[in-house]
Amino acid sequence: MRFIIVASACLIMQWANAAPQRIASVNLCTDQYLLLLAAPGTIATVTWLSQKPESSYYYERALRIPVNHGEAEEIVAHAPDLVLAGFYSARTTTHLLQQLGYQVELFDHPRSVKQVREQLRRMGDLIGRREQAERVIKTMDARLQRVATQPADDAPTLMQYAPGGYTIGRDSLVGDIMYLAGWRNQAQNAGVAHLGIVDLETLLMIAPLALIDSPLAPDSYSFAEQMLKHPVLKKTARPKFTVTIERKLWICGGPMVVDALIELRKARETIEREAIESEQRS
Amino acid sequence: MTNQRMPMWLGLLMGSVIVLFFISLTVGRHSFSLWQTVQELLAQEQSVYTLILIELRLPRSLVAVIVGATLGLCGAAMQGLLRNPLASPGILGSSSGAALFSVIVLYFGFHAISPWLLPIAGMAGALLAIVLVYALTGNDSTITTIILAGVAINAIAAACISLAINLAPSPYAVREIALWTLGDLSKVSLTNLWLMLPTTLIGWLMLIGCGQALNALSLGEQTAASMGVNVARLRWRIFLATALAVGAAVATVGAIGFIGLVIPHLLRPLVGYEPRRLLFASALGGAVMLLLADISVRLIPSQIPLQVGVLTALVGAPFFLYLIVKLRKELP
Repeated sequence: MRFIIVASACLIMQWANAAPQRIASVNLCTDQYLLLLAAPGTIATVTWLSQKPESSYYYERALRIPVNHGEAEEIVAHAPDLVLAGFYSARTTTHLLQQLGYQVELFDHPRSVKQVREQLRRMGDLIGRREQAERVIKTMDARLQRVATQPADDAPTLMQYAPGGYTIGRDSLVGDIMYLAGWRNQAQNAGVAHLGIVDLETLLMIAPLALIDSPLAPDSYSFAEQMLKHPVLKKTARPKFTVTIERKLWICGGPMVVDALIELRKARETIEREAIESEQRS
Repeated sequence: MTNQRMPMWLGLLMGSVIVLFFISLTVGRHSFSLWQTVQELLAQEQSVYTLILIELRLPRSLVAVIVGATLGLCGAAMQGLLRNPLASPGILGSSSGAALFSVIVLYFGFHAISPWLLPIAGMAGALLAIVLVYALTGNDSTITTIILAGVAINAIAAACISLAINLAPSPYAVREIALWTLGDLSKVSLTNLWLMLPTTLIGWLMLIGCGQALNALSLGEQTAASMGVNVARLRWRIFLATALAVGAAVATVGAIGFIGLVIPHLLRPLVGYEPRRLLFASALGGAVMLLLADISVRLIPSQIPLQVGVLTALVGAPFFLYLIVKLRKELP
C-alpha cells in the first residue's frame, strides 16, 4: 500500500513538473554530482562512501546527509522522487525501484572530460539546476583552458598501476586526464584501451618512466596490493618515479578532475626539468 | 626387480624436475634467450631480462619446486600413516588452519611488525588445527575418527577465512578468497622464498626419517608396535612436520589442492608400494606436477591470468573420480 502511495506521489510530482525535492543516490559518482549541484535540502540520501574523505571529494557536504548502502529498503524509506544510480552498481536495487515505479536515472562512468560536461548538464536538467551546472562547467572549462595540453612526441611515459596489475587506457576519464596533462600513457603499448591487467614482466618490458599510484585505502594489505611492493620494482631503472594522485580527484566526474590534471602536469614538468638538469651535469 | 627399477624412475623424476625448472625459467609473457641473459648475469650487467629472470621467474620456479615437493612429500606421509586413500596434506585441517592465520596476519596489518610473522603464523595455524584434532580424538582413536575431526576443523577454518577476509580493511581482500583456496605463484619474490625456506626444511627433515616406521606401519599398527614402532609418537611427528612444511607453503602461495592427494597414488605402483620409497619419489613428483601446472598457466593464453590451483584442481578432481571407480571395482 505504501509503495503505491509513494509511486503515485512520484507520478504526481512529475506531472507537476516541479524539481525533485527528495533525491536519492546509490552510486558514489552520482553522489558527487548531486553534492555539487543540488539545492540545499533536496538530497534525501547518498551512499556511505560519500562520507569517506579518501573516496569522496565533497565528503564534508555529505556528512549532514543520511547515508545508504545501496539497499532498496533504505531508499524506499526516504520516499524519493528521483533515484540516481550508476550503470553497474546496485543493479538489483535499481531494477526493483524501477519496478516499483520510482523514477530511476542511470549514469555511466564518464570516459572523457567531454562526457563529464555532458553528465553535468544532464544532472542539472534532472534536478532543475541547469544554470548551476552551466556555471560549474564554465569555471571548469576556464581552468582547463589554462592548464590542459597535449603530449609531445617525446613526452615522458606514464602508466597507472593499481593493485592486481590493473591499468587504465586512453579511453577513460583517467586516461583522458593523463593525455591532457601531457603524458604519454604506456597502457597503449600493453594493448589496453580501456581497462586491463598488466603483469610485472610486461611492466618491466614497456618500462614507463613513471607509475601512477592512486591508493584506494592507505596502508591496507592484500596480495593485489603486494604486487606494487614487489622488490623488483625497486631494482629496475624504469619505472623511476611514482606520481601519487588522490583517488577522490578522478574516480568520479566533476570539476575536481582539473586538480588531478594540474598535479599530473606539475609532476611531469618537475621530472622533465630534473632530466634536463642531469643531462647538463653529465 | 623393484630394486633395479627404482633408480630409473627416480632418475627420470629428477631429470624432469631439472628440465621443467629450466623451462619454467624461460616461459613467460615475454620470451628472451635464457643463455644470453645468463651471460649478462655473469658479466654483472643489469638489464630488463636479468631482472625478470632473477627477481620474477627464479623465485617463482624455486617456490614451485619447494611447494610441490612439500605437498607430494606430506601427502605420501599422510597416506602412509593414515592408510586411507583420501588422505592428503590438508586432511587434518593444517592447510586451512595455515590459511586462516596467514589471512589474519596479512589482512589486518600484523605482518608490518615483522615479515617473519607470516610463515610463523602459517605454522601456528597448521599446528593449532592439528592440536585441535588431537584434543578431539585423543591418543588411541581410530583413523576414521581422526579424519572426521579433520573434516570438521577444515570446515570451521574455511568459514573463519571467509569471515576474516570479509572483515578485512583492504577493499581488494574479498577478491582474494580464491587465492587461499586455490593458490597462486605469480606474485612471489625472493623475499617470500627466504621466509618460507627454514620451516620447510625442518619439516622435510622430520619426515625423511619416518620412512622405516611407515614401512612397518603398512603391516598394521599392532605389527608395527611389535616391531618397536611407537605409533602414537610417529603420528604426532608426521602431523608436526606436515604443519611446519605445509604451513610455510600455504602462507606463501595459498592452499594448492590435489597435488598431495594425486601424486602418491600415481607413484605408489612404481616404487613397489613401499611407503619409505614413496616419500622421496612423491616429493619429486609433487615438484614435477606443480612446475607443469605453473608452466601451463603461463602458456594458456588468457587475458586474465589463470591461478595455478585452478589447474591442479581441474586435473586432480577427475582423478578423484577415477579413484572412486577403481575402489569400487576392488571392493565389490
